[in-house]
Amino acid sequence: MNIQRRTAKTFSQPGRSAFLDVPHLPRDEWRQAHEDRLAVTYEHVGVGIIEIDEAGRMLRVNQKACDLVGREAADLLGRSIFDETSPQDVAQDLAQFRRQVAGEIDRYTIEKRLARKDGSYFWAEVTSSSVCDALGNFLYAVRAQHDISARKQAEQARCAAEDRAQQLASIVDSSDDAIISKDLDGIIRTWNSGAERLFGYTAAEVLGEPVTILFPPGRENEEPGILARIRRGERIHHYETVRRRKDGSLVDISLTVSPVRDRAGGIVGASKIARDITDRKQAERKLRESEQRLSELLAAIPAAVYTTDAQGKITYFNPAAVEFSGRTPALGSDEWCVTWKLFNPDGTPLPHDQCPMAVALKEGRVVRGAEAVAERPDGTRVPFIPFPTPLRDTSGQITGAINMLVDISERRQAETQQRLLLDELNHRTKNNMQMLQSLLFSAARTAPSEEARKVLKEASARIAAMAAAQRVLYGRSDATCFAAEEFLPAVCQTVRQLLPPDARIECGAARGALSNDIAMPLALILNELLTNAVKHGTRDYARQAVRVSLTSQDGRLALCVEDDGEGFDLEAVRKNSSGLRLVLGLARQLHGTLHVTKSPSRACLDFPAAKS
Amino acid sequence: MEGKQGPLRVLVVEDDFLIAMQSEVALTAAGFEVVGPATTAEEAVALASEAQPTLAVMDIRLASTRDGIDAARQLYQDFAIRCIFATAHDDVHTRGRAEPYAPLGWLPKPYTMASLISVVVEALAQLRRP
Repeated sequence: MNIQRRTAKTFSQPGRSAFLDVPHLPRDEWRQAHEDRLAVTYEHVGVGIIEIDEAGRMLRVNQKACDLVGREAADLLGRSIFDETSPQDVAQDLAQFRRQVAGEIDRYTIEKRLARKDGSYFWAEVTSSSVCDALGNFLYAVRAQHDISARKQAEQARCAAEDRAQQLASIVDSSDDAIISKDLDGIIRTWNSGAERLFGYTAAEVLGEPVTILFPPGRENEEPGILARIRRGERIHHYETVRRRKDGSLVDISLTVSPVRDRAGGIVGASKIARDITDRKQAERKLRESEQRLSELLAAIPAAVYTTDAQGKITYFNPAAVEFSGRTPALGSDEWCVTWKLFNPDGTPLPHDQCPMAVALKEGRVVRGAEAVAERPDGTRVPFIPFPTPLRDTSGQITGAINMLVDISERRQAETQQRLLLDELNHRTKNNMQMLQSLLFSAARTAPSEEARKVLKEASARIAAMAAAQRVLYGRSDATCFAAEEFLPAVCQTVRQLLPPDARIECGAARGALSNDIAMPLALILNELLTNAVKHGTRDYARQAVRVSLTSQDGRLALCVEDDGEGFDLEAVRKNSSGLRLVLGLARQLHGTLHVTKSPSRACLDFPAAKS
Repeated sequence: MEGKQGPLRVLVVEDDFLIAMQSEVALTAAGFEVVGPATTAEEAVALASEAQPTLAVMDIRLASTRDGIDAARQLYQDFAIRCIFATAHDDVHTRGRAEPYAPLGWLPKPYTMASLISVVVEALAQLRRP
């Protein structure tokens, strides 16, 4: 089959009416001219034209078809059109083409990628039309190929843009923040689901409405200002305000408003991002309230309280601290203490950086039991006890410290007063005993009989012994007990003064603490035993001394008086000696017992140190 | 007890009658001439000026606003008379106040007359020492 000829023939039929400018030519000439022109048209038409057989092999190509793929016609002829197609598009094209060959369809159009000589592909729109014989059998196909890469690129770009817009739209829609746009008249133009959730209005309810429907009464005047700034191209960052929901409830929001521009850069509206900050506001309110409560609490405490940061700079002080220190501390510059000047209890200056609070901060420990004296600017001084305590964060790092200063001047005054009263009492007691002694002394001096003088002198000696004990008792700081070491020599010395001048008393061991209750009975017992020993047990004062000791062991005390005489028999003597009866009576009072031995001549009183 | 010009004079300053009397009796019995007793600081100063005693036994609490230490100050400054302080106020503070006036001794109340005499004798020995 001469395909070339048939083709020309086939083309000649529909082309006839297209050439109306040559009907006047003779029929053969016309035919010739027509075919030439068709050939020229075929080569130069702006469409690639390829004829392929039922196997897809190229039978004929025009110049444009060669230009499209960058090959010579000779290269192309005989090759399969499907080999020149991108593998991705072959299946689709081949399927259609088979139906065409089978006569199921006359024509189809597809978009597919064709290979260039350099290996690259370009998008082409291909329309494949069947050429059949008179019986309708497929002879070959004419394929018109347009380069549509420009259109494809535009399409792809548009798709990408649409994808991006879609993405942005879904971001906006899925945002927890309310994202709203409005035009320059303040009319709502877009409304995302975040806005729906935050404000309770659906998009349909608010689109086209003025944004001021969200404003609570009294805040409408915010809008003109916002719009004015937007018109000037300004952004409003994190503006905290209140808006009203559809149900009328108020919501704290943080608002960011930005101008929206058109392609030309003109401002056409504004986008608003509103974030619900109710929780944060509530937390802030709670924090403020709790701080307020704490500060009221601290203000109500009648002791000076202040805090510092980790460096010791004062960060807080209560009104009592101002009263205490006599000045208003300077926050952020005063260090360690709110006071003007500090002293140690002994009056030496105490530098602020060595005060207990400074120690607590520097050494990271609680300081207790310290005492100091604060001087106010007016010169008055206040003794106080500080209670500095470091404050730590959850990781244990010191963040500052709190201190409380307790004014102890009243306590000090009370202590002084008490001491004065006690001193006065002591003074009176001592003076009274002195008077009592004087009274007996003068009574003895003027007594008419020797017997009366003897009795009065004995009484005077007993008072003197008690007076000696009294001196020991009230000469000390401890008010509940006294030391045997002080007691024994004091009483012995007094007793000795009332004995013959050359009598000697050797004061031996004296150990132990004695309860005040036993001082007077013991002094009287001692007086009797010593007097007795000197009077009856000693013949030669120069060579013999009375020995006395007071010792303690296992909670019991022993008072022993020893002389060099013959001793005495307790039972025989007690009836006639008033002194001994006094000793036995007082010994009972002390829950003690008196033991008397003859060699050596010794009288010992054994008694419990504390009354059981 | 005799000095170069007769018995040594001891000024007794004590506002309590009984104690003053006992002291006077005891000192006299021991051979001293007793000046007074004075019961106030002013009386003590007047008697000291008049009688020029060798020393004074000075109670600290007196029946006057001026106390015994104040009287002792004037005796020491005006007449160079030193004192033995007899007091129930025997503490560091009181001793500190009396210190500038060169005390000759301390008699903590209540004291016996024997103590009084021995402290006075001791004080005279101290005064005689060059």
